[in-house]
Amino acid sequence: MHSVNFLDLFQGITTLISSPPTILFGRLGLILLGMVLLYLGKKGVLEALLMIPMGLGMIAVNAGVLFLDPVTADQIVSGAAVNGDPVVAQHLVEQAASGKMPGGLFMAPMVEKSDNLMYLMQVDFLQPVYTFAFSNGLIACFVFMGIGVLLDVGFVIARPFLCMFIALCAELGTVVTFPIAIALGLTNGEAASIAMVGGADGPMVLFTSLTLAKHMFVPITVVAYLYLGLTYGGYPYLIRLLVPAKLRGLKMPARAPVKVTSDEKLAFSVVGCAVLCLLFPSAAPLFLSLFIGVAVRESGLKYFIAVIDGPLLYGATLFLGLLLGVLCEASTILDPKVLILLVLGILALLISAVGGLLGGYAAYFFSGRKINPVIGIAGVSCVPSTAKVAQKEVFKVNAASIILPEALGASICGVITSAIFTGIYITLIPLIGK
Amino acid sequence: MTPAIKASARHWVFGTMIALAGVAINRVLATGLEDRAHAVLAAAGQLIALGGLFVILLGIRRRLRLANADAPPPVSS
Repeated sequence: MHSVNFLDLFQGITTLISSPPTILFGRLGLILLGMVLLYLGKKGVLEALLMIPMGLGMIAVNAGVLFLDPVTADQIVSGAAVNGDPVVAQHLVEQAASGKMPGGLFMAPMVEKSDNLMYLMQVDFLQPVYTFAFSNGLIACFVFMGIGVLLDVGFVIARPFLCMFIALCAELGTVVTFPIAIALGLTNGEAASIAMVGGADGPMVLFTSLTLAKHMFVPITVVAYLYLGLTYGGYPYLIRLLVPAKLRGLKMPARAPVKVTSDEKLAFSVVGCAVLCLLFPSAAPLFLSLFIGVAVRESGLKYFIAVIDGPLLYGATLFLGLLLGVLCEASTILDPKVLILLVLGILALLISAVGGLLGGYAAYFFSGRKINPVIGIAGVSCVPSTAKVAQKEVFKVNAASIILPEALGASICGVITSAIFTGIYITLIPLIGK
Repeated sequence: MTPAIKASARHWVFGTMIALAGVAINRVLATGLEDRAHAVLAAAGQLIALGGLFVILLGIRRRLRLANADAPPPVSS
């Protein structure tokens, strides 16, 4: 009878013990972080729709590590993009052949060759979702369609200058973070991707990083979504810090009773989508996704609205959270650049918020002290969280002050300006070098 | 056609034309030029195209204002 090593029965523990100390503590830390995210999601501190699948995915991928069989390990090693260091590449080949290569049965994000991908799609359960829906940006586009269906562009059309001005001011972080990131040693592509966190739109960050910095898209996107979850909790303090209570309670001027018609909204969406796609073809999938959502909403296509607003948006959000969690494997996340990304991500969001509030102040002064400056925070986008945060803060000071329509307008404009900045970065960076 | 819709329609036509002219400058004219001139003309094209969209928005705002002139007084928020 063969003797059986007890630890071989529990490979999750064996791989943990046999891994280098950085990976060991990284895995344990990420399991713990997954639990914290799940808890904070459940408590409503962070976005539950994303954090619960993401937290659980993070726990499972870092706990469920096993020694891959030589065939699967070889498919991963030979299918991945060529490693620059031949010594490391040789070591991986030997490790794979000996059956001692650690890995999970979730997915292999770095594999690019089609034959190897076909093999892995029959082994790893999330590989088909990752290959066919995540790495090509489809999930980001689905989320954007859902956002489009939820948006009422009438708020933007009713006060276009105010909304666009505030949204542009609130892109300050997207612009300022880029040179800071370059100065900290990131490449142009990485810098542009992390700067997009200032636009506060998860799908944009995902799309930009997949296009410009694919090797770093996991930590960049995870940082983005973590911080976007935190805006709901952090921005109220920033508003209270930068806007005195007297101004926060300012009542907006009375609104016009005649509304923008759905025909006008639809026609504007059609012209806007065409012009933006002509200007920024590389971001055309995002514009199409956003405006098809708007067009469906304004055309009153109830069945389409039900599909996009329900299964498509929430299905995409579920798999987005789950895949982001599963991508948070210790070996991927433990990159020295992640610390820089953490600092730059929060900086981008902070600068954007300050820029938005400065825009709010400018609107307040230019309008003859009629516009409530708190609207500025809504320009940071992150629809509709920032608009709700703005209204909540105003409501605490003056229950009779309603700023939600204008705040939503600024927030929606924020989505459009973020998409424009995505287009600018995606167009410019390949020209100046990634 | 009411005066409000007539005014709005003019803005739609001109706005769309300006936006498309901006696109043409950005995507057609600018591509034939060298470095600096290309960058300046491309940026100008983008601004003109976005300006065209704003002309349309102005038209809608104008229609709303004209329509509001006949509407009952607004309710204070």
